[in-house]
Amino acid sequence: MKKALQLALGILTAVGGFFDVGNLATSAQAGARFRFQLIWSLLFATILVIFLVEMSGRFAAVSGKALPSAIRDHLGFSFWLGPFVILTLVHLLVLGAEIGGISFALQLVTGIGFQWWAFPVAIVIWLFLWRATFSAIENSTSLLGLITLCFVVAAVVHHPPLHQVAAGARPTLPSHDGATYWFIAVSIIGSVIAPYLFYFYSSGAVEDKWDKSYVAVNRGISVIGMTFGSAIALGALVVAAMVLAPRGIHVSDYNQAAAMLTDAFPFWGFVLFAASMGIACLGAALEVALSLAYATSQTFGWNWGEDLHPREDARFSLTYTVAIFLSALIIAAGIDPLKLTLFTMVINAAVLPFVTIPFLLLMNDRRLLGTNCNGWFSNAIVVMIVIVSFVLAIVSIPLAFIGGT
Amino acid sequence: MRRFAVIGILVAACSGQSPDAKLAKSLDAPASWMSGLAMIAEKWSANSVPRAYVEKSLDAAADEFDKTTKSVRESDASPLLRNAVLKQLAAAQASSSSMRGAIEANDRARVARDSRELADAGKQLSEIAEDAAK
Repeated sequence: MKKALQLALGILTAVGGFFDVGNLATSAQAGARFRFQLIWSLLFATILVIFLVEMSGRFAAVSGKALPSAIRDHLGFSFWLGPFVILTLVHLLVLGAEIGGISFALQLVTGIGFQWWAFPVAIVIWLFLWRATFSAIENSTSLLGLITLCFVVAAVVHHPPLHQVAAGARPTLPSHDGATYWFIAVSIIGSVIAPYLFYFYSSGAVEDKWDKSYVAVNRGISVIGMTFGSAIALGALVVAAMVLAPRGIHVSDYNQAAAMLTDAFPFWGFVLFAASMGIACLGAALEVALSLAYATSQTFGWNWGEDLHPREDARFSLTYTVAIFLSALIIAAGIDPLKLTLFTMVINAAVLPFVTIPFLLLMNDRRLLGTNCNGWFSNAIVVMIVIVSFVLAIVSIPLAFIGGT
Repeated sequence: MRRFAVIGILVAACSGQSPDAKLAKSLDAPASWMSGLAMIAEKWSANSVPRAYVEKSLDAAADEFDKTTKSVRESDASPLLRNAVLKQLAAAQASSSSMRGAIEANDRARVARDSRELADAGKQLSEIAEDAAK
């Protein structure tokens, strides 16, 4: 009964915590520019993320270790140092994009420029992390994040042509703007398979003291939670396709997307958009800041844990403090939050090999996982992820210059 | 190494577009803003969005129109294309400026007229961009 409750809560938090600024930006752009044609990239990314999240949870539950500390212990510090530095820089950019999302949501509501909100937002994020426990952060922001389901409701209200939505699940070549099409496809994949997710999830499983008995719960959370979470991103894509595309709005600025819910909800649509954006980005910002602090502390062998008092893991707390304020600086400098988000999502896709290769090595280590090692099917999927990630890494950066918006 | 060379060639090929095609590509953002402002104004008239949001959108659109106007003037594209684009940009700047005043005065009829003009300018600019890209 306790496990069933944890499964239900885990699914709810996975759904509520799935959507973030990257999903919102890439789904809105995809729907507005290419209607339903890029649904396949969202489905592709969802399948991959289910496998990766399941593996990171299974790894933590069986070995009792989070990913960065296991990589350092079993593959060596020098092996891990390069990927760690790259991933830390990516974490900072993602955190900047999430702070930008919250700041922009506040701009929508107050009319005060987003750059003025960067530091107040940073202080709120920092206070949350300083004062709250892991489960309080995870459950409160994720449950509030269920407000993002309004995109699914709006998508249903618009009665999209189902045959066209279904046709979008099949990869097709673009009829126009090829570079932009592939750029957005890569950004969608980068927004769903964000590296911070795996460090956060595996470290969170250790914080929640998961053991082998959680392997089935983990599987349920990964499959059901990620699938329903992805449905929210699909909802945003469909709404953009139904509302923005017919009007010729291509979303080159968040302001152009902010009214997208008002056709479905004339009175509440604008507030729902701002609230969804603000809450989803707040939850993600907390996760990214924690993920960065987890990875850094585990890499250098420091004390870590959101449930510890800051005095007991001072360097862990210092890490997220510095990260939050560095990332807030990017937004305070006035960099466009949408452009930062899209660029960051492409970088996310480009660095995936740095996450997946060490991950694959660990998932096949029988000393760590015993009979819970990866089977051939999971290995095949991860190998495919590594290959796709590598190709994405090669093409995404030039595409950012050719087709980036 | 060969793969990197192919990508380099691809990037070079794509960046070696004609001046007209380059200009056409840069029109996506202003055309999107013209249509976006038309929708935002329509929503403001229906009391679905606040005035502060409309004003911020007008500011952002004005920046985009100014930036594009400057780049069109500096472009090596054909004079015919540049003049056609500048005409639509000037119309959009005039309509959005009029819309700002109409919103301050709470003049919904004028907002509706400016909104229609912006939507038309956006459509025409998109058509010009499509023709130039061919």
